[in-house]
Amino acid sequence: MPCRSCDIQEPSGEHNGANQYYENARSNREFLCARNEAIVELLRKVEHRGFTIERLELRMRGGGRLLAHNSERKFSKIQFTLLLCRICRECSLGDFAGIIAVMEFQLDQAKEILGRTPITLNSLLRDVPETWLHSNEGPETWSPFDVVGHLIHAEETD
Amino acid sequence: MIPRARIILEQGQHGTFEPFDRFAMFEKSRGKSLGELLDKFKELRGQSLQELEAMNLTPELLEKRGMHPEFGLVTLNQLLSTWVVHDLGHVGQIVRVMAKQYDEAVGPWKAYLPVLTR
Repeated sequence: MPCRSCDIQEPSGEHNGANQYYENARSNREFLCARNEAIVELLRKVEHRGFTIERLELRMRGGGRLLAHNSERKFSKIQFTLLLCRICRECSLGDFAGIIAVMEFQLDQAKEILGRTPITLNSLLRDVPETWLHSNEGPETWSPFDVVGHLIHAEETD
Repeated sequence: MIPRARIILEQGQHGTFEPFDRFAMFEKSRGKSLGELLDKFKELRGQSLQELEAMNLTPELLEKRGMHPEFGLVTLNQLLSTWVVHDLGHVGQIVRVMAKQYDEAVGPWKAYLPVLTR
């Protein structure tokens, strides 16, 4: 169900969980539009995975983020994006079209990239002809070979 | 970044980071093959991630601050985020340098290949 005005009808105050968000939305007599329902559904999913929601931040447009923790007090920041249809994005009103959420531990996300860098470099560079490895962008710039050396040095000392 | 993360965790704002030598690798990489460097990097990164894991970082710890000689107070979170972006930046740099090998070879298409003029 499209809702043109819910961007300014956020349930106000602190939201500590899916039900409370839902109740706030209703008790404030705010229109429980498709967008709010989707947010509630997201909150429920998060809770279902064993997380307690600490904080919900909604941006006026586009989405927001959740801070949640599980029983081991491991925290997770969950970014979510509300999908707005293109036509409305142009007129900046934004009809609600769906929701996507990225739920990961931020630290785990970082580790995901950090763990991949050696693999990335290996795929890109191992056994390629030398000429690819030793040219640079001019004086005072680094070649791919230099960069790998720099990463090693950074790993050891930085 | 593990040594700096340790300084933040163990000494907080009283610790200072060792200045980083951005040219040390020219000497250290001398005479080594790229294969050796890649192996070394993989090994070191594996160790770093194990150490990171062992730190059992909580949100509270991630907010701990250290003193950067140039920037002043920085959080552990910022340091670890910087680590990720530092990696990605250098991957991008390598890709860019490689692309530029064909700077002239692409002829007029250069106009549509912004990586060559970055």
